[in-house]
Amino acid sequence: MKILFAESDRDLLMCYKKLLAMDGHEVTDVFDGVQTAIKTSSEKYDLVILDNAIPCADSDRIITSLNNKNVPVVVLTGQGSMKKRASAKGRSNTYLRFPFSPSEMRAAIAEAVH
Amino acid sequence: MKKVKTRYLCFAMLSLFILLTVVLGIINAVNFTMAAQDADFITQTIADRKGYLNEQQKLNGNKHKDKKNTETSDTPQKNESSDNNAGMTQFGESEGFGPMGPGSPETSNSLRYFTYIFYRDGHSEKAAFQISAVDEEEAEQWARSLVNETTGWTRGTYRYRVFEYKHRTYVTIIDQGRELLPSYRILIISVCGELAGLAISFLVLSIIGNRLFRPLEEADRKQKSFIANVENKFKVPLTVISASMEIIEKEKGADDYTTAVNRQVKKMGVLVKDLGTLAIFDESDLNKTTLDLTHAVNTVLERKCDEFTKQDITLSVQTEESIELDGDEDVFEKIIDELCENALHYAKTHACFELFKEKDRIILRASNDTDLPNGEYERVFDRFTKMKNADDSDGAGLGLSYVKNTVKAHDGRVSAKVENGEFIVTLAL
Repeated sequence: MKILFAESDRDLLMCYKKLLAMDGHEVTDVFDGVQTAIKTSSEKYDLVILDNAIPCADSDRIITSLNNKNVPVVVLTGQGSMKKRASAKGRSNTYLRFPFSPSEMRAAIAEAVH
Repeated sequence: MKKVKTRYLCFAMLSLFILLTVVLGIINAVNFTMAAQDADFITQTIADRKGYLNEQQKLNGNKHKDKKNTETSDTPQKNESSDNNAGMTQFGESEGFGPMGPGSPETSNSLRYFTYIFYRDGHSEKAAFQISAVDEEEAEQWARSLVNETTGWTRGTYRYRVFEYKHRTYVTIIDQGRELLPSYRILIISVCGELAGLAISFLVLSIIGNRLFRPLEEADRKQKSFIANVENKFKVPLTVISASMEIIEKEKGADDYTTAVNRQVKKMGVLVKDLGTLAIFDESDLNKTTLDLTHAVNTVLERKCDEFTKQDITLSVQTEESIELDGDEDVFEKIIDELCENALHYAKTHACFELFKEKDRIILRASNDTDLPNGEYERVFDRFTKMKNADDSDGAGLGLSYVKNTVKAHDGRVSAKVENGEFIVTLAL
């Protein structure tokens, strides 16, 4: 699966880029909202993992834009729990709360793409 | 905080209302009691003088005396008046306030009253009649209606006394309307004053309340902000450590040290999640919608199912279909999550979750087998409280406290008990 991982914490990004690559996914990493917007408008991804508090952008706008393109999203958040929440377009986004384990990340990815 | 402010205002107003009512009530009660005592002083004086206040009034009353009863009449004659007056209260010598009191020398001239005598054979005689408000016939009927009484108020502002003398019943009725007028004025002023006082107090308390609570609101906001910052500062590092350990284990294999790190990370993860429950939970934090509680319970339990299996705990779930509730979806998921964590920590072989309706309440019951003795366990809902079967690895003791606060915010109740080896937490919503 082609995954875009948008997260401002570089250590977190480095670890999960490696882990997801070990799981057989192709991972592109970005550090802020601007890069996220550029990447998502120029390339097609099977899944986007997005930090809800990503700098330089309104994460809700990014999520809406991805929903409009029918791209599944896993939103990393400090609030709430892992579950699906319907967006305005009817596309469900999966919310994953910090701190999470690698197995919880895998479960969230599975839930998002189904 | 809004609820706290409202409660403060209600309790302050209630206290003020009770205080004012008691104080003004006592003042008015004393006032009316003293008015009655003053009236009784006068009626007693009339009784002492056998129905009249002065000789002039006696003579006037006796002008209408029934001549048939002249011989048997015990109305004091002129030469007996001094004997009859012996031992009586003398006007001008009253207790208390001299010319202002009921015993003032002017009372005998200004008092409006009448006295009737009732004989055993049923006929009556007027002993004194110094009143304009009623005619003689009405006065006689009025007095006759009080023959079997002793003393008291009649028709609002008239004080009466009934006394016996030489087998005859005397009924004296005096008009205290003018004397009672100040008392009634004080009563009305008290009531109006109390209402005005309460209205002004409400305004003042509302204004002061806002200023009074400002520091508390600020402290509450800072506390929540601090807890949120601390939470966030720990969350990402824990996630990074957890991911890094998995990479190390995959590349170099797991060992005791990686296992120890993972274990500690898991503990810290639980503590960090519990930190969020430390903030004082405010009802205004709720985001209520119509929630399918059955779906929420089933979803969380499905997610936790593997963890129960890993720990060889048999999980049974019995939920009624489509039970709906007005509540915060995130909060309820966390409540069910906390109940699951509790069961995972303390269940030995089995855990059970039930959701059903009972009368007008929704009941969510979580139970697991336990070594704890039978009894009520309300203490489990206190912060940082763990039972003796807990160990250091089992969180900070905040989970069930969160459950209690959030259920309460939804107007529900919680209880915990051990019965026949089962630890049962019941939520009534």
